[in-house]
Amino acid sequence: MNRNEIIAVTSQSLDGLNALVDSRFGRCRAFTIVKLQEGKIVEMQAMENPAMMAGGGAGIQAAQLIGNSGATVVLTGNLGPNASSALQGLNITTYIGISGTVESAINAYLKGQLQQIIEPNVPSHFGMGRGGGMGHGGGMGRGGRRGRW
Amino acid sequence: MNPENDFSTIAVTGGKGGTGKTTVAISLAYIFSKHDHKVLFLDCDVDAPNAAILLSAELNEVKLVESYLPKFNENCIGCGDCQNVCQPHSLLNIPEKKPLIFPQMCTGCEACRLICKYNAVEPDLKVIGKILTGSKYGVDLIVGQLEIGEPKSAEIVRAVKKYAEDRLKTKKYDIIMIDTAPGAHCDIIHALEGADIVVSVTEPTPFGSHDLNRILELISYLSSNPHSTIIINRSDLTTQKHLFDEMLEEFHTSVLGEIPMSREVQLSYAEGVPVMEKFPDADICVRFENIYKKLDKAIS
Repeated sequence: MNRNEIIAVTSQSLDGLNALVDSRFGRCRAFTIVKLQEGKIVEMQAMENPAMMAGGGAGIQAAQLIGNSGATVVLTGNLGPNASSALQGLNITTYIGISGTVESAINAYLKGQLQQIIEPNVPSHFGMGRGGGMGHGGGMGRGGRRGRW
Repeated sequence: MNPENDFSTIAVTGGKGGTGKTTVAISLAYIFSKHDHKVLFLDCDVDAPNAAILLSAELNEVKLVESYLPKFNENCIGCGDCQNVCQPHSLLNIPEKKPLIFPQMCTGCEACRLICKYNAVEPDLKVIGKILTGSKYGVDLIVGQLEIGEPKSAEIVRAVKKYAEDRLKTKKYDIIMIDTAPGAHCDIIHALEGADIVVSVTEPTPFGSHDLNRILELISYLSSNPHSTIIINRSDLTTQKHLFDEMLEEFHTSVLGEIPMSREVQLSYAEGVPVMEKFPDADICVRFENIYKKLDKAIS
């Protein structure tokens, strides 16, 4: 594992390293962006996820945000079909199986305890209505459909 | 009713799903055809078009309904302007590369094409539905079918009507019968606009009454100002027909007829045969004959 990288962790609040992780990607409450240098955290930024309330396209919107932040790695729990295609398109690697705080998730990543995924592991709109993200359901994507060039 | 054209348009709707809208619509088409009218039936319930099934009519696909989708050419420098302006988040900006398109999210607004400073966006097409045609019992059918998951049902309704307009240039009809979707949203408006008579099918229950109120209100907004009537289906289900009294007065709507529950309707519906074809001696045929007479009179 490259020890100089920017990692995004899906989080339930803006409390930074102490924030609890959020298992959702597209509709998580917040992202904690962490810069690593030689395996040590040197910078940290917490930002709200504007896609949380989105009716459709949340995964794409969230992926764009992560792409713009410079992160090359995402730590999360669940990835829907649009999010999976989008992150792949941006050459961002995703690991799942996070729990506890952002800090513990990063430690688990550094110890190689997380699982990398390249396919979606939940269907479209999975994160909707689980404690937030009440969209109106417009623009429903077809599960498993990839984006195209 | 229409001095310029020589056809009348009757639309069947109802608001509440499952009231018997399509069954009534095809029965009316059938009986008008049996009385030597030339009937063109437009199935505008594009989410789930059932008219052909209830008639056991074979359909042929005749046309695809398409919507704009962007295609990026070699002029693209990956600036991200199109991604910024894309409301449904159908585009992903990959720095210095062409955007990644999510076709199922695209609503065809073309904002990406308009904003691009480099002439990098060309129009491509995506299929959002199809038009099918058929014929049975002397009734010609034009059916609109939406691609599963697409949001723009109103576009398909428009395409059905456009196809019908073209058909009218080459073939004579004196009755256009339109079957709409349940509900009160914009594709129902598109289906109902231009109708001379609207028949709302309802049932004597609080559900039926609630949804009827909504559809009658919608009908009152139509610019073609159609004659508004209702058919009370399953009329003997309850004794609550009085639920409609105030509403009918408020919206200047008359009762075209009442249809009690009948085994004949259930059996013929399940088989996909019009009830009057399968059970020509049933009481329901008399009811539809009376409804036909009232409509025929209203038209001339």
